[in-house]
Amino acid sequence: MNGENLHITEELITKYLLKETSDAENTLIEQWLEAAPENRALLLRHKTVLDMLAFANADTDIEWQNFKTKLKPRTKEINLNYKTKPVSLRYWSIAASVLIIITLSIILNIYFNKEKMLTAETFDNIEEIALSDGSEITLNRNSVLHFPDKFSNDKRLVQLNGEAHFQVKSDNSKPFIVEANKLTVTVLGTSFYIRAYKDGREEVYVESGKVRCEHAGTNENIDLIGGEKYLFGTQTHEAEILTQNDKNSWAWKTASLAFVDMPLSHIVNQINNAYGCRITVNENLSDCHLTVNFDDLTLDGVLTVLQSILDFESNKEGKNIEITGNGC
Amino acid sequence: MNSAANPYKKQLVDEALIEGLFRKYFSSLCIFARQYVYDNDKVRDIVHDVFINIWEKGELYDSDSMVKGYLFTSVKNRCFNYIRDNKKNLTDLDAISFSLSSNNNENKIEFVELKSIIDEAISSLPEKCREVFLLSRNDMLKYQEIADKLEISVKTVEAQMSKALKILREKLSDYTDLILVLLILAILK
Repeated sequence: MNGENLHITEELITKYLLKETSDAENTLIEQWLEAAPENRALLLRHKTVLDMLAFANADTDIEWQNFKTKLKPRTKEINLNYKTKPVSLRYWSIAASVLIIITLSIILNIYFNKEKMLTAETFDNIEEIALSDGSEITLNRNSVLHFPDKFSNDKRLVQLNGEAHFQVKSDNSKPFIVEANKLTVTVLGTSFYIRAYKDGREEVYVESGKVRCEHAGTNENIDLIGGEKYLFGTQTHEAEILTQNDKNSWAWKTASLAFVDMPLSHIVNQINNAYGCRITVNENLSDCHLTVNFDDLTLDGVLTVLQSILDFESNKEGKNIEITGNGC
Repeated sequence: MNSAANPYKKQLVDEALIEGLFRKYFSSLCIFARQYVYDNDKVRDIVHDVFINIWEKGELYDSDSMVKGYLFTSVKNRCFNYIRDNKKNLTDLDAISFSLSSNNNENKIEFVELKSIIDEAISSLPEKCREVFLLSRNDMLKYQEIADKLEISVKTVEAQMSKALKILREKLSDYTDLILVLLILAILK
């Protein structure tokens, strides 16, 4: 490390961050910081711990009082999609409620047959959602799906933010429509993937059947059939045939990954994406090129296969996996 | 869908609910955000914004685990948006921590309770060391004041503080080191 001759001890760094240093010591530290960028990084790491400690020790009374002033009265009225209210214990009110409910449900059934919207949200999990029409949706991590409890209109409409696989039950009389950001995908019955995270471009990949995609932002309207994909925002207006690399990027659902002569760093990225883990490889290994297939394996299975090809040590802590080896 | 067991069931947000959540999670969320954002004021703003957003929406999940997931996810997203929107004003270090989070295809979120890791780490400190540490960090005493109070030399206070922070740094290294390692790698390349 550069600047070692300046003789900066941990005691001095600690003193500096706690503002206990003299002017002379400050000068010394500043010289040391200038000497090498990693010195600055080291100091920031020390500071991170102190800052975290300060937050851990925060006085919630004071913090709450400060924050409270930021809460303004709400102007809009809030209505919940589904809310349960305690039923009054008096007999007459129970009777009245029952009567009202029966009357209302009759009226609702006859005149409206209204859909009630539900929301599914994933964080670091993958979720399978069965819709009332028999269609199945697999929601990838960090995604949100709005869907009705039943489909009563002449179309089946759901809204997606994030990434999902759709297995749509065929119903020619009711098209199935997915709204994902500015993209609208219309199908009758088929299976396909949509990737539409807020901060990325929308992508559709069709496994089987036929889908129609309309993008209100880019005006790219395109029909896709099985085996085709399209990345919106490219303005090519032509479907692309799926490459193996594309298939890998949907592995969170398929659990099937295949690589031909790819560097380990790339392979590990795809595994991380598919399994929601965080594998890191050391530099000796990252450029090793491999040809390998993983079919329907657990993460441990994937690691065992990799380990049988490359000689490495792996250290697993939760979802963090550190791989170290001497080379290819 | 059975509404009794429905994890997506919503509840109305009133001030008491916000206050309860704020008191319970404020510290943990700030520590969590501090992993990604170096500016302490910005960390506080980000956490405040998440609570304001819940208040304005007026509804929130009813289940504790969903609420917790929602809070941490929202804070993380806001941290990344902040880093993205302020890219050109950032130091190298911030830029690297951003590329780490965006290139790694890292969809996962760890709701590690850093606060409990910190509390455990503090209680694991050797007795003398913890005494000095708590006087400095809880009671905010200067080195000289700690030395006077405990009738030890300032040098000893320096050494004990440095030791305490070293132990804490080691226990927290998973959450503070990754960025450092990447920075050094980038410099060496």
